[in-house]
Amino acid sequence: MNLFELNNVTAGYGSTPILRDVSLAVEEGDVVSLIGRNGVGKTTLMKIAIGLLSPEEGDVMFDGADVTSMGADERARAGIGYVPQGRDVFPRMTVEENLQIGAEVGGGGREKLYDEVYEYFPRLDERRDQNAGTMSGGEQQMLAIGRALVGNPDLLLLDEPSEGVQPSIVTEISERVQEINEEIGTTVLFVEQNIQFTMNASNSCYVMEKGRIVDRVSPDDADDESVIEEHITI
Amino acid sequence: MALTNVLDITGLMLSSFGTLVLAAVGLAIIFGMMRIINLAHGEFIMIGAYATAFSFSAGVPLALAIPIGGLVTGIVGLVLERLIIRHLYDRLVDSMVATWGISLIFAQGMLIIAGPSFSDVPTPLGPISYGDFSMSLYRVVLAASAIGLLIALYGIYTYTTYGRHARATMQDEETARSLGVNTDRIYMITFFIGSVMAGIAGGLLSPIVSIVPTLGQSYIIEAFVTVIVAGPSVILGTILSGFSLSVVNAPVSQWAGSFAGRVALLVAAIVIIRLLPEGISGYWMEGGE
Repeated sequence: MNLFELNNVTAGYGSTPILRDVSLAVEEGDVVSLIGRNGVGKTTLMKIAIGLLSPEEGDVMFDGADVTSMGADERARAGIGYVPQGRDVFPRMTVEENLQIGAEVGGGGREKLYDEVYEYFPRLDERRDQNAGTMSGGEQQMLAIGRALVGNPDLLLLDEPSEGVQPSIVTEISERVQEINEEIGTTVLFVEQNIQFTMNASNSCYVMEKGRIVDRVSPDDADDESVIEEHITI
Repeated sequence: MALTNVLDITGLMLSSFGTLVLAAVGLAIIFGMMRIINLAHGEFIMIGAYATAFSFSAGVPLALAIPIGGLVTGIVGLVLERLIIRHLYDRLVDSMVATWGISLIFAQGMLIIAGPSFSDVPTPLGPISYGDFSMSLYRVVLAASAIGLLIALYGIYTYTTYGRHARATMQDEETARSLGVNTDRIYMITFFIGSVMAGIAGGLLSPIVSIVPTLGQSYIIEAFVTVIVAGPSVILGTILSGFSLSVVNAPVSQWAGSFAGRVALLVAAIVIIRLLPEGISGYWMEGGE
């Protein structure tokens, strides 16, 4: 069953179209990625997925319901955890307070995952009382993922999780994403331009160029790595 | 310098500090946190003072009349937020024009409803004196209440779910919304709390001012100056700002009159902002990082 779908979504800022007739589907329990160069519309797609932007045409389906007209906060409470590009932690709040905000995700009815988040990311445990703005890029990324995860969402959306993070931490984060998927069962959709992260973490990968989806590949298949590289390198 | 002089200046400092912080406390929320330039803030204080004076003249004890003033102002603020202010978030100039218009309507409206003046609230608690020195004990109450209100705000914004959500919303509205925070509701509650604070301030100040429709205008400048000097930290910043400005204001007022005191206060504010563009608490927080 598809947990999340975009159907024929067209969107843009003013008269400039960013996404043209984009359709994608994420099956429940899967880790799906979307890869593309800077400026092809990845972040716009993620903002439409969480509801910070409305599509001009097309619809957004989550858990069998049409959520196109729902606001971002409602979608979050319905069970979508969103990790924005550039992390955007709340800088003048502590690590623990950042996680407490994320507890809104999924609404009040479900068990919250504070212990699990601190287990996946022990650095956050060490820094509970530290202001988030004072941490490194990698630590902030871990916090942003933990913050979206703590509310026990059905779907985790990650907007360029490797951006501005040092390579050793990128590997660590991609492993954590896989573990979260396998152990908690969270469905994941992320957008990336880092091939390594995409190969490591996802089972299925859409390729985007100039606002359109042009291919769908499986990163487990060795031949497809060259296909992805072809799309992403200039 | 005689002891009496020292006591006189201390007394002036207490009332200057209390007045500055009380004038600023609601604005610290509405302008300091929400970045809305609410030019009707003085009229919010005026409404609080009127509601308190009205309740008091109807026989309600002052200690109860002051929270009534806060609540009435809070409700007025809530209605305004829903009808007008919420359409003006992120529209700085429009919000200034609109709130300036609101301030005129409130001041003139009160003149029409209640006439040019209302029966004054007598200053409670009597004086404390030492030799030639004498001051109203109520000045101490004002300063203590000002700090009490800030501590209450600290509690709300540190330990409650609403408080955490409000801070998250002010730091990054879009991210807060994408994590399930109903930011529209947060703005509404925050404006309400700021209005209640302005109203309580008006109630607390009502025994030391003449209850006239234009009374808000005497607080608006000091309120903005105190909040800007305070910088990003509402609680610590407002206390430090009120203290610094009153340290300048009180002795100059004592020796050269209250007009000179006011000029000195504004000059001090300009100097502080020139040296610390992020305000006192901004400098403090930068240093901590």
